[in-house]
Amino acid sequence: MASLSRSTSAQITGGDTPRLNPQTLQLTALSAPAVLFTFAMIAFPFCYAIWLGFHSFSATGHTRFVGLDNYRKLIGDVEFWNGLYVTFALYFLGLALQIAGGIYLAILLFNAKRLSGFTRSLFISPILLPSAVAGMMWIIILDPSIGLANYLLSLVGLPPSEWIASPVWVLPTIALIDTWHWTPYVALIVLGGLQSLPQNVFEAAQIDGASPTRTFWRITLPLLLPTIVTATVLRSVDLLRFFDIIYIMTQGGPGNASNTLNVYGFKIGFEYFNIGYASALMLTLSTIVFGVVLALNRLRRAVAW
Amino acid sequence: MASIKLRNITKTFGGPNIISDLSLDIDDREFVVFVGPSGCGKSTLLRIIAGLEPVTEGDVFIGDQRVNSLPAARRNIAMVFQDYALYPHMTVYGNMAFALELRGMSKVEIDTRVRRAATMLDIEPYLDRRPKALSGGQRQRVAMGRAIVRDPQVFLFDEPLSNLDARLRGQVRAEIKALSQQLKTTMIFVTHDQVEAMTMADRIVVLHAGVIQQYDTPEQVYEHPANQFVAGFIGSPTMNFLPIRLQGDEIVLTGDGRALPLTDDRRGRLQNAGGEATLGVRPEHILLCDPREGIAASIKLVEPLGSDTMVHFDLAGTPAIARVDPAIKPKVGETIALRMAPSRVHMFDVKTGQVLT
Amino acid sequence: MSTTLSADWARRLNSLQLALVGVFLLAPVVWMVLASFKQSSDVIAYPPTLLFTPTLENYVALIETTPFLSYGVNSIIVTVGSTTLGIVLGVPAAFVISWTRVSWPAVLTLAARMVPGALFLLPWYILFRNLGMIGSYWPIILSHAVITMPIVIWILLPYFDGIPRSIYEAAQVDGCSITRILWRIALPLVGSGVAIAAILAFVFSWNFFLFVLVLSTSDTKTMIAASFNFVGEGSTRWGVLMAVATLIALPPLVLAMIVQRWLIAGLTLGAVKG
Ligand SMILES: Nc1ncnc2c1ncn2[C@@H]1O[C@H](COP(=O)(O)OP(=O)(O)O)[C@@H](O)[C@H]1O
Ligand SMILES: [Mg+2]
Repeated sequence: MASLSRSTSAQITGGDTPRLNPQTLQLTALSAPAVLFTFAMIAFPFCYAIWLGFHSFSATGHTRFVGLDNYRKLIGDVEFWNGLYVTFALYFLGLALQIAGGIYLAILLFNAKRLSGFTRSLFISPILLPSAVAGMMWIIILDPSIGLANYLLSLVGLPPSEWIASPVWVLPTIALIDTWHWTPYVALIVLGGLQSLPQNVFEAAQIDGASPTRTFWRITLPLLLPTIVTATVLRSVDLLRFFDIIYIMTQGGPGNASNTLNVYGFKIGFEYFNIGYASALMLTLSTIVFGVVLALNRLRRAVAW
Repeated sequence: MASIKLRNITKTFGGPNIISDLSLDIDDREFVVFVGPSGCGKSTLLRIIAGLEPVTEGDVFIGDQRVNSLPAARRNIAMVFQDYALYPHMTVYGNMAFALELRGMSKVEIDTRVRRAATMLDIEPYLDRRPKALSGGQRQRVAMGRAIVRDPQVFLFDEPLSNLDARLRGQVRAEIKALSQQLKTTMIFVTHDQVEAMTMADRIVVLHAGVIQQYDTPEQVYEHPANQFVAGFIGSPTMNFLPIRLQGDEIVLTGDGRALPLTDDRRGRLQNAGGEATLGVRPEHILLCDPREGIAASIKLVEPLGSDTMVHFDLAGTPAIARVDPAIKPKVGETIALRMAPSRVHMFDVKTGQVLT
Repeated sequence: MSTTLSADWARRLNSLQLALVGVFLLAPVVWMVLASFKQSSDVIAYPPTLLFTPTLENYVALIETTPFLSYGVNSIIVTVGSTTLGIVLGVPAAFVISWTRVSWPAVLTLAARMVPGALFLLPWYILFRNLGMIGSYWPIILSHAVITMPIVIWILLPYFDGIPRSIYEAAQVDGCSITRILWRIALPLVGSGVAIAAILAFVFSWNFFLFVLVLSTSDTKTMIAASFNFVGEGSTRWGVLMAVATLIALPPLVLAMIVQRWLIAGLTLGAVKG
């Protein structure tokens, strides 16, 4: 998203008759399908959802304008606050693990200069798996009675865990699964950043006599910060909308221990068909995501070099 | 083949005027060169004629047709770009044939034309190659070939020689000149190199900040520059400029009050301009002379070019250059005596830079 | 001498760590594939075993006792359809965005990446139901094109931007209309970009879970949507579940290995330069 800030000066204007200019006409025609599609499938549903958020729908198909009622209800809804807590707990836990792990893996990959393209792609293969598949494969690994995970724990003398069946461990476990799934992604981005760093800076540091550790903390990391923030933005967008793996593995349980806002909203909308309230909830979540992205974008500008 | 008329052209990109109220007539079959420093609007003007850039105000005529709203595709012009802009995915043959193909020309006719142009430009052996497999000079020829096969009303060139090395540049310059005499098509050639302008043009347009400074034959532009900008831009090394003023009956160098022997009519012109002016004299019009008559100057730098030698010195506190015969073997620190060819000096208004007439 | 020695050790240490991380990343995948070839008794064996007689019984059971093949066909229809639609919509759009340098439409398409999918699903569901389209492939294909079109646009933008402006201008002077420039000049020059965009769009559409979950019906159920049902009965048929997971994972893994060099661009949607 660094390249979002492209120039927006429209320079294809006709001399005399800008509107009937054949160039403008053809450009319009070429982009029309995509623009229409974007409006029909993205912009219009978004506005429709805003409208839905101000209404309530009875089972008889009766629609009623309720103003801000849905949003007021949100404030009093314990499940909403629980969802907010779960969402952010998962967000911070997952983000910390993935960013740290991603930087670590990126540096390992960067230092392993003679890695073949195939080997390298093995390291990123988790990214390519559908999250539904990731959920399925971890279900069997984490199964309390037959799972590999508890067997490994027993090998090192630890007591077995309930994993996703435990209200305490479910969030760390899911954060760990997501970390397994997406750490290579962060690593890819950071690796891209590492590879584009100016090499002469490191040579200069070497000549100045900086130790490798010092070089990492004082030079590599600060220069990588913009890339790391970029990775953070991309992961934030997904983590704040955490859905697939939870819906496959726990459906928000046990109890409501993994009921993220996105899962909660989905259930309200598609299991209880409370469309107005679900829309209000999803819009609130959208606002949170936009807010975090904007804040991080500002941070990225601050750490740019 | 067509004449070109520009009428009161103004162009902005949303900011200041890049071209201001510019009018220009180019005759049929004429070879006109736009010359000026980088950023003065030459390419913009050329692209307006090509139809790649719309005008903000004014009219463009090709032949007698007003073409303001005619897209480039329908203006029947051909253009050679600075980076050649060859289609990387087509062979040389494909590059040259493309435009003809778009016009629905028969395969036979296309083949005849492409081969004729290829022969003319000596690129027959490369017809099946992709541009990537060609040298810079060969690419330049393909770009020309692509223009020639079109047999267009007008040829436009935007600094087509600037990516060639110096030797090739001189050679291709001569070839384009020969080509223009052979093809007898209206040609507009953009360059920032005044040597290219002088050697190739029937008429030169000197542009500065989007305004035509002078539009005339190379001889006229060189011998009778319309203003100080043109005088300084055309000619190498550049013309020497010295402040002068009227002192009593004499014209003197402002710097040291030394009298200059100039013709009487110049005194009148200087008088009309308020007694002060900038004197312009080309290096080749500063002549060595008898030490008793001339102005003495101490040599600061000597640049031997082989055919000539450039001598740098201070004249009344202003740096100046003279072009001298290498046979006299000037040395740094020597004192030489100089005079100016009285009929070859120019006088420019101190404020406007216009030549004093 | 000592520096080369320590450099050697540093390299070995690096390889060792890399190997450990690799095991952590790959072991679950390997475990999944192995489990899919285990007999039911081997799957539930505790302690878990690596030594077993491989069998295809899970795959056979999957095909014989469930309409998994038709789920696969549905998956292919949806993914190919949405990839094609993404290309058809995205290629000209990316070209126009690159040509005019007006970028807000491209940014707008990214909104779909930031907003929770369920926000779109509610209006879509209402709209498609009112149009009587639920039950056909169209709602799913259209909804997945919301994923694929931005991928195509953002992958191709730098490719189109990389074409020198003067080549477009030369084509204009040669007599090309804009549409023709796209067909005859720009598209041939970005061919490899289109291929990569198509493969990435395919992978992302194939992997997408939420939309099929809601928009597919029993006739249009895709493998991913069906996988959710298999999870429900999972504990009774672990081996079959892993066979499902393996089959779903196969196409994206294979395709992505083909384009692994360009993967990062696709996965980051232009977030990282170079
Ligand atoms: N597309 C454009 N948008 C904005 N400014 C432009 C554009 N093209 C040219 N300019 C400006 O117009 C001026 C003249 O440019 P140009 O005609 O290319 O000069 P040159 O004489 O070197 O060919 C320059 O200052 C340039 O920055
Ligand atoms: Mg130019």
